[in-house]
Amino acid sequence: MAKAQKVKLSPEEKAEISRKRKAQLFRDRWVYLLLLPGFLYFIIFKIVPMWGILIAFKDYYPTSHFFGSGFTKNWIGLDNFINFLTDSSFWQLLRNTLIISGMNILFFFPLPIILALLLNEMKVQWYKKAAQTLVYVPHFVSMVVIASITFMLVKTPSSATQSGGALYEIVKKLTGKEMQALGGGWAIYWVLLIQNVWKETGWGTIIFLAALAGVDVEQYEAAIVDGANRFQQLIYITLPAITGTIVTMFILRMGSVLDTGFEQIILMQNTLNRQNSETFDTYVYQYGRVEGNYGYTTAISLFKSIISIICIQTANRLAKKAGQAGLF
Amino acid sequence: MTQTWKKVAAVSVSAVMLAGALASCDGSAVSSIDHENPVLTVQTKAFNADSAANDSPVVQALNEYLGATLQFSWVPNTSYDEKVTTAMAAGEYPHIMLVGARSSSVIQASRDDTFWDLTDVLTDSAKYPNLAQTNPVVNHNISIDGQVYGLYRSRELGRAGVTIRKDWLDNLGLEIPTTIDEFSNVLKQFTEGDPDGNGVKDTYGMIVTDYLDGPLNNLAIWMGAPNGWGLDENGELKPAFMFQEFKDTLKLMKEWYDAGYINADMATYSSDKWNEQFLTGQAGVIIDVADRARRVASNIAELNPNAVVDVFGYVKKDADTDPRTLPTTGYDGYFVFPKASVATEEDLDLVLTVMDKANDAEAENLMNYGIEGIHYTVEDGFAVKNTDDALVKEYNDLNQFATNIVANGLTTKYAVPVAEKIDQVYAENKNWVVANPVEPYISETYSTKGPQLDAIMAEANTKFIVGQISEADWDAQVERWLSQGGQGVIDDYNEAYKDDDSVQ
Amino acid sequence: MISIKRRSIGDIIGDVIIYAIVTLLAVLMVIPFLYVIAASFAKESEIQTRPIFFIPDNPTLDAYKEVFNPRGMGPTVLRSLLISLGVTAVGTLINLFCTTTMAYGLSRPKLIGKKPLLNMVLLTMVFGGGMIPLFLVVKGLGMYDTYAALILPGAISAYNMLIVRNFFIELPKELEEAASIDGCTEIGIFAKIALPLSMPILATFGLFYAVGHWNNYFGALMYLNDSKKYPFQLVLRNLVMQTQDNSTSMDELPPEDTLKMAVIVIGTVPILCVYPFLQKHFAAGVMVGAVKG
Repeated sequence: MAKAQKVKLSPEEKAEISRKRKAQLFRDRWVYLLLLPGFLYFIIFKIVPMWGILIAFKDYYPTSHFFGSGFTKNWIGLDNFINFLTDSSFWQLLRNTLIISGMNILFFFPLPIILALLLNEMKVQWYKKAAQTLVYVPHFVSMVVIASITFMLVKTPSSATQSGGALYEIVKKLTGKEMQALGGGWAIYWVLLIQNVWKETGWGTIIFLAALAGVDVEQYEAAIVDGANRFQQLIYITLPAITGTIVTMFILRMGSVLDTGFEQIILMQNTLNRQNSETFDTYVYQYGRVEGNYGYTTAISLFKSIISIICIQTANRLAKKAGQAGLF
Repeated sequence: MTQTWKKVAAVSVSAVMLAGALASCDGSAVSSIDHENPVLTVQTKAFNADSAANDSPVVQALNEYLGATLQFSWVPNTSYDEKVTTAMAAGEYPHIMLVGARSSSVIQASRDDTFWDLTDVLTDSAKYPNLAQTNPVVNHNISIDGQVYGLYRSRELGRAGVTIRKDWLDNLGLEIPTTIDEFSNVLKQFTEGDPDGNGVKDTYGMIVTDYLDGPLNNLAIWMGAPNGWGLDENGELKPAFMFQEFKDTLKLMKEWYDAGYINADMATYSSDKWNEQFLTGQAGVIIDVADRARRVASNIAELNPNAVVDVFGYVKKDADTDPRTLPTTGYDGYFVFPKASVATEEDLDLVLTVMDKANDAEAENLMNYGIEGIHYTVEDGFAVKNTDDALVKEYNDLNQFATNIVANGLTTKYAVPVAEKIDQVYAENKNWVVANPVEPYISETYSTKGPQLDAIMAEANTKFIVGQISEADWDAQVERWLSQGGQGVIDDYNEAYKDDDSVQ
Repeated sequence: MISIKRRSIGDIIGDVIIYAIVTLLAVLMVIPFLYVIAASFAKESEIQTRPIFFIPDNPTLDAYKEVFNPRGMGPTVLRSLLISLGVTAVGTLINLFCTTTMAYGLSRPKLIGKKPLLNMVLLTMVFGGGMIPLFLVVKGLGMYDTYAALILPGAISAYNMLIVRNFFIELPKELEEAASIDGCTEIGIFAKIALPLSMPILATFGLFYAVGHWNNYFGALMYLNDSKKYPFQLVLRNLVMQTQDNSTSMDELPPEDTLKMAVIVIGTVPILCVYPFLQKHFAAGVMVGAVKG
């Protein structure tokens, strides 16, 4: 973002600049034509509906009229925000959201990259393709099914004479501990993380595999001639080639640091773990989408948006400091 | 950077203007329905993948009977509330719309005069002979600030019931329990007395799931606690869990839990799998709704032909106390008539006349069983359905339009013997239901904090029973409930109670 | 990818480890789905009583027969499958067109107005007006109760568009220069050079978008009124999602588990079948590198 030096320009110079601009605009006319559909899309479906953000500053319910007669009514300033930020559950929601999302960034984010690198090392094409197809499968399995499979695996015994689910029994044999995966405490976070890893790791490799497909074959050949071993090839050729993609994905991921989704969590929730599993998204779902407290939940969403924009900017700046292209 | 943001802001502002132009305006007082050939749009729930088509013969016959062309918009049950909330926000209204629970949006919409107020209309027995028979108690339950904004879909009040393994009782020489002590003993014997006679102690008494509230509230009612809310010695409304009887119930359940009469994993046992351990012969009691017995009975027959499933409605606290049972609210959602689509009083009259006719026996039979002679036949006064799928789908989900205010249509015979018993349970329960006094009241505090408050007590109850917290901890949770908004709810309800003419 | 003539012992051990890990992962990931398939061919009583199995004791086609029953819900299911296929195909084409044109435009260096446009896109990624204003726009444009409402409001995912843009930025400049000397307009370069070189990207995002359309029920739930227009996921979501919770307000019994499983299999298989066809395009990506060198 280098700013042009501020120099006083003579009228001739100004005219020259404006002439150049016009020439540039004309030269790029076809590019603008290409941009048009996307531009219209963003204006119509993304920018126009943004008036909805103002709902956060109103006492607003589905049948309140926003325009016309209702426009001047029910403005309550920052009340929705104050109510939310001072609500006794706010810190709990923030904590749970950050833990769930933080664990995902820390443990889940690197996995698709590693798996993609492993797949990339496989030389037997049919085997590689088969493995790829198989790891994508979980992405298509609906959360409801994953939830019921999870219940089955971690089930604790109902009575002294029964045995528990497969995972429960294995843990008991290995450690002697009775695993309460869906009870209180941190266990629920691991359950959510493992479900995510299982469902999305394979699917997440696609983007990195596409990036890997673009790596120049000749570079490897040259490296082999130079006597580089496999690990060195990975460090000096493969990784640098996909760093751009990794950074892009990471910055984008930072933008959704307060997003946890609601379906998965609601399915796994019970009275014992609710304290640890209620997040902004589950809260907004219940109070907004189902109950219709739009003013209040729009305020929560806006709060989330402000946090994401800070995160995304920070991540982008850090990436640029580290010498990467960044996102914008 | 700042400059670009300014530009974005400028674009956004002009976009807002544009959106203003797009947004629709309020309707006017001109009739919105063609009274010669009325076409009425209906939005209701769909439970099936293939709900009745608008051109199906049954819908045609129904149209002919009702004197209006119905256009059904079937919304899948699992996402119904989301759809209604959004559609209302966008001003997209059918003529007849089912609303589910009284969510904040429905309450607000009613107060904003979005729907026709039916309070004084429904009583007109000359005009609407069927609708005039709406139950005042249920009308009171669905009312908002004392006004009735809809036509409820009537449901069985006394639906609670206990599903039990009759053959286990017989093996142990026990009868269907009638008191808490006997019930306790049945659980004990089911756990310790080898009810399946296989010589191994591999059974237990009762299955409780993560939906603890169901069994707990039923038990609490039997034990004498109020339903949801009750009047304390000072004549103040208090939540049920602040009554000693409720606490006694918790202690009783804890005893059962500690003794192994209830499944050890009740807190995490998914309610989707409620029937599973009953079907596999590991437990023999479920406290829920009586009709669960029907599903259980038809599934268990395949697995264990010797199993006998029975059902009963309640047990009494002692032999000499009156029976008490937990009622439902008596309705399952209600139909509203939005002013945006039903513009004038003449229009409303037309719609209500249709709704009234829909309560005639002929219309009810059409909605429940289709056309006589094609979709069903009448034998011994019972409707016998033709189970051909091609016929069934011609009236699939039409019963979701039925209000059954006057249930004068045919009834049907079920295949499993326990089904008739279920109807007896309903009839018997009805005499002993304990009403929830706050059902019609709206608490502002509850509508913003309700789910949170409910979660506090649900957690405390579960943790107390499974032994994670002590009685003192549980008391502390009640205090927490009070301080986090519960006191506000108590105040709201008491205020509403004092203003309620119908109870003073 | 490349044939290596000399293989050291380290290479072989490395290979063994890699193949072992990937195989293990692939198996772990597919096992639960195998259970779903097995359960869809099992009797309800077996699902209710056996904890996990891969071969049903008494295999039966009952669940599939019920879903495709020509006298029952079969016609509805088939119609909704066709609708889903159509919406997915048309929707994906529109997605790819809008995404690539915009991404390409934004990847051009020194374009006047690029910065504000990019900022606008980023703004929309973080801030949104929510469902109601969008609903009003859709309604205002006359798209309520039409398939356009399922396609246009999601024509571009900003997230995907930005990634595609990054790929375009990394395309070799030499080719474009050569083409523009040959008298190609930017549109020509885009269509004749940039797009063919990014087949792996098109395949990837085509797949992302297609899966998004295929699985989307929410748009249909919100914007469609006529249940005859419902796509597959919405028609059958009811079957899969219905549970026995809150039985106090429910007077219909939930469908059996075996039916739920069959529905999931039917919903998954078509999209899984698409993948192998796209897979060959991933190999085409090698070309990009070859040109660069």
